Amino acid sequence: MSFLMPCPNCGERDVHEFRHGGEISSLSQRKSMDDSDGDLTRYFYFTKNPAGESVEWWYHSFGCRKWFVAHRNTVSNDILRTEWPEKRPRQQ
Amino acid sequence: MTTGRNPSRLEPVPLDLIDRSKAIEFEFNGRPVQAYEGDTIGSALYADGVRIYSRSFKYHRVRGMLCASGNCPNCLMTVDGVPNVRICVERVRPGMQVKGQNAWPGLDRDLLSIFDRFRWALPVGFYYKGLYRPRMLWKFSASIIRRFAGLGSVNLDTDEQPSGHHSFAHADVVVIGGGIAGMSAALQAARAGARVAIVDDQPSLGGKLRFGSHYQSVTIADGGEMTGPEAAGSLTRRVSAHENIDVLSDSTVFGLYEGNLLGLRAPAGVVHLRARQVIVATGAQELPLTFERNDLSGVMLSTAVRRLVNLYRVRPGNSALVVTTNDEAYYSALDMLDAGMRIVAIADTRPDYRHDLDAANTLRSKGVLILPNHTMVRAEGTRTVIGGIVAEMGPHGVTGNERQFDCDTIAMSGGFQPSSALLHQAGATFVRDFDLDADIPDQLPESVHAAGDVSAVHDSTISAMQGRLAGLEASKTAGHSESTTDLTALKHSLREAISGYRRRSLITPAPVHLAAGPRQFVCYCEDVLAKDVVQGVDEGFRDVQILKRYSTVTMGPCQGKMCHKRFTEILAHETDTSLTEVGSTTSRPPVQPLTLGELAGAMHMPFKRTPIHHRHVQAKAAIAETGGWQRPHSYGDPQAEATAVRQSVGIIDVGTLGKLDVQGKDAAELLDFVYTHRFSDLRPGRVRYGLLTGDNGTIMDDGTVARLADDHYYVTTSTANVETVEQWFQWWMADREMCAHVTNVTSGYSVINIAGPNARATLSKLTDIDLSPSKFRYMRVKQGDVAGVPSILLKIGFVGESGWEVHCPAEYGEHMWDSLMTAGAEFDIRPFGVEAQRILRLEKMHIIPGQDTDLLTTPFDVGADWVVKFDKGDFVGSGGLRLAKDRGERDKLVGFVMSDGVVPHDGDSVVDAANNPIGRITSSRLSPTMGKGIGYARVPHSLAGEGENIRIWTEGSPHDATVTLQPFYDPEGKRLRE
Repeated sequence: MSFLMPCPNCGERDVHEFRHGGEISSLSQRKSMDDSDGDLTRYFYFTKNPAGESVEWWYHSFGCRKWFVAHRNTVSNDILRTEWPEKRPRQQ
Repeated sequence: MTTGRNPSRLEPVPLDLIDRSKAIEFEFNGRPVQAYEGDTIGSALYADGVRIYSRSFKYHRVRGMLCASGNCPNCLMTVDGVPNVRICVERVRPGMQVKGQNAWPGLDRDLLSIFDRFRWALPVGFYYKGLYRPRMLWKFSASIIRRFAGLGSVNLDTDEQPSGHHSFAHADVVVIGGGIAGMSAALQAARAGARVAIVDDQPSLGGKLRFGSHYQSVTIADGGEMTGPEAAGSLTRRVSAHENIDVLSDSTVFGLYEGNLLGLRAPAGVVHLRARQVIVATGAQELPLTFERNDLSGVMLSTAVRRLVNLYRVRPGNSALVVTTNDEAYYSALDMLDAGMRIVAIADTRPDYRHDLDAANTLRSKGVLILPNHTMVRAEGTRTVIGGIVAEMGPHGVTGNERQFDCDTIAMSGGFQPSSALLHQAGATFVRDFDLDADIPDQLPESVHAAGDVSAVHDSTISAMQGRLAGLEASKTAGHSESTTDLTALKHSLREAISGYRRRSLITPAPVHLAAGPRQFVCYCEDVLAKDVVQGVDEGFRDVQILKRYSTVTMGPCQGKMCHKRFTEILAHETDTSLTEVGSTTSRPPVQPLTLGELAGAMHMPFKRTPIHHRHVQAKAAIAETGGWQRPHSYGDPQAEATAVRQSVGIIDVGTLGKLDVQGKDAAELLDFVYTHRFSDLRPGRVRYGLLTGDNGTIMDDGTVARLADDHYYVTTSTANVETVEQWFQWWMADREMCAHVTNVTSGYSVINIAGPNARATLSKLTDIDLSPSKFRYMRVKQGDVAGVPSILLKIGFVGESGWEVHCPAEYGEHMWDSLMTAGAEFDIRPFGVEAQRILRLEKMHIIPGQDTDLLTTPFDVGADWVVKFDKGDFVGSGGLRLAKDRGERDKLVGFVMSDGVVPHDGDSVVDAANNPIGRITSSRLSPTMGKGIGYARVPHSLAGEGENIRIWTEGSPHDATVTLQPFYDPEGKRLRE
């Protein structure tokens, strides 16, 4: 991985300044106490891991230390866009 | 081997690289060799008469100079202890020690060349066939093969650290290759306003024009028609003078990575060069021909001859036989004539040579014999060339019509292979162009351009036009205004020029004539013969990728630069398919070799120190690295330090603790959500233990949470985890859209823990805060001055004694430490280190996350059920913890005390009656209080009850221990409340 990541705060930076925080998908929708064992297990252990566009958490660890959301093509590593978390899609 | 020849240096020419005013002496195999500044080791050795440069990989055959450009394996030597240096491109330095390698006892007389007699016993893939069974044999034979075959040896005893420096650079347009195409591109892009870097692996720009012939004319923009060397000089001057162009000479791009990141091997170390646009102008590699004994010393590429003559002014020999498939070698022949050599004949594999080629006509007028429709079948000689045999070609390959010539040099040109490795790495697609006898770039990524010989068109005037076009397009895509040059007109004239080139060029593939003899080397790196490739195909390895792995062709140091084309041609021939169907092997970085040390760069191991660090150094503490910090492991005697804390008073520097300041209207909500415990009901002025789990309920970290005000908490984390915890808090805040500020204040505070029966008496000398048990109770926090410094005091049970954590601004750390030491002097206060802390905390059964827990440990597994508050509603871990609770208990972390005097080690096993492992020791220390070994063990639930007997396997035998669930020391916790 050596692509550039456009941080919504700092602009385009080397991807090594960032930490990847996992995908945002229907499987990552948070589950808690009252959910079934099956739903919890899927939430803990499964990801969609799409070959193509993926919506993901990223954290600018060696920069502004802010979490943001990136729309990344996991095949080409093209970043389609990045945005602040409140604008992220709630359901994939 | 020194021959009787006297290859003295030739008269200077304008673009040669040597400076005759600066003589340099170095050592080759223990004897002095004279050179000039600008010489490569290879050129100096050649001028000195050395003809044996290396011994081949497998058969230990004599090898001499072949490419003179750092692209073949023939000149690998050990320089100043570094193996596998390509000495034909490594420039001489005074006093350097150069040694031959992979030969015993030496290059000139290598007894290992006995392997050449046993070629019949060492066919392709012989080790797969004969040496793997029985299994025992492989270990033995592998060590033998490794000793006798291969490259130089690495000195494993050295403790030298890699010293190369890694640096980072950016440019709008990076041009790779400093030839006519690259320089034209750089100038054009720079004129349009782009910031350009031009990277070239040679000491000076100019590419092949530097050793180009003055018989060739070139047309460049703003320069008109001139000779090759003149054009090189003119462009070099303009490029060097342009303020928008950085010239990176002596630098090799070894890889093109994602996002146009280029890896550069530069003189000062590796450069990570990020380009918006890349122009690949890497030229083409001349290829050898295959004929019998085509690896003898004296058989050289035609461009190698020209490099020797024109760059280093060395005469390659006395008489040369030239064999070629194209026009280029004609210029080499002219250069050799000018250098005073005799050309015995030029064998041209084409049906006829180009009669419109000035070089050919000049040669004829000078009486040189040109033999069209002829190819080389055999070189004569055992170590160096003494002659060669050419044969006329018929419709079905070579005929028996042979001619013999005496000569000491064979200059061969088997055509040119575009140096397109970087284009492959960029993701370009290629198509086969049978007219040009090459794969040419088809689809290129938008940010990557190709110009010059890499496009398989070998014409300097066209290269200059391609360069200008690439420069214009790159600067335009990079967002720079187009210059006045008319793009459309340039494209049009380029098309015209290329179709003209196609019309006049006579390009034919190099002939293959396998019957000419068994010693036709396809791959010089790994000693693979043409017949080996054929045999591999016969054995069923018909796919280019599989045959590559089986035969190891293209897998040696040259990575296919010399052999790929011939390899695929033979494969296509043997499988009766076309080159398009055969395809090619995959090009991966590095394009040119570099050392692991260069890749690693200088060692950078940053570590952190607390503000009090130098006090520990003065006290001669043993410093250990923990969690990225340098901490005092002990001050000499951990047991005594622990005892001092129990009996009087001790202090420890815990400035490494992670510290987070959490403020804001949602601060309480945030902490309730991320911790298993509840903090919204914690009253200001109080402290509570906090345990963090992931959403799946496994333990992440622990620490204390002090509430300073309604909307203000002060949180500590374990030393190594503060970054993780900070990111964790920030993430959940972002996810839940909570309003709070989490600030990492770890380095802002110095923290000292003072503990022991005399801690109160010591600390009260330094503060007006009432420290009496009724006024400053256990798990309380107060702020006030200590030793004149505003501080936060936390009364917590860190090591099981009455004690305080004193947090003060980092600048006052040493002052606080000194003040406490002075105040405690009358109680014989002692500093204690991490080891004593570990013992003391183990006696109190405080777990260390990461040491006593692993990635699957839940709070229930460590008996921390009391920190999980299911009744507070949803929180991080609530689902996972509910699952864990429902699942019931598994292994459990329990305390143990040894029955005998043995102290087990961290990581020892708990065993059953049959000595099978059923659990493990996570922490174990000698307890000064108990006088016995104590610790934490993970054991099956059935053994987790108070008083159970377990067996611990340590130092080769089982030992009995008793399970305990109560702290070993002060189980009721009376002392810390005092």
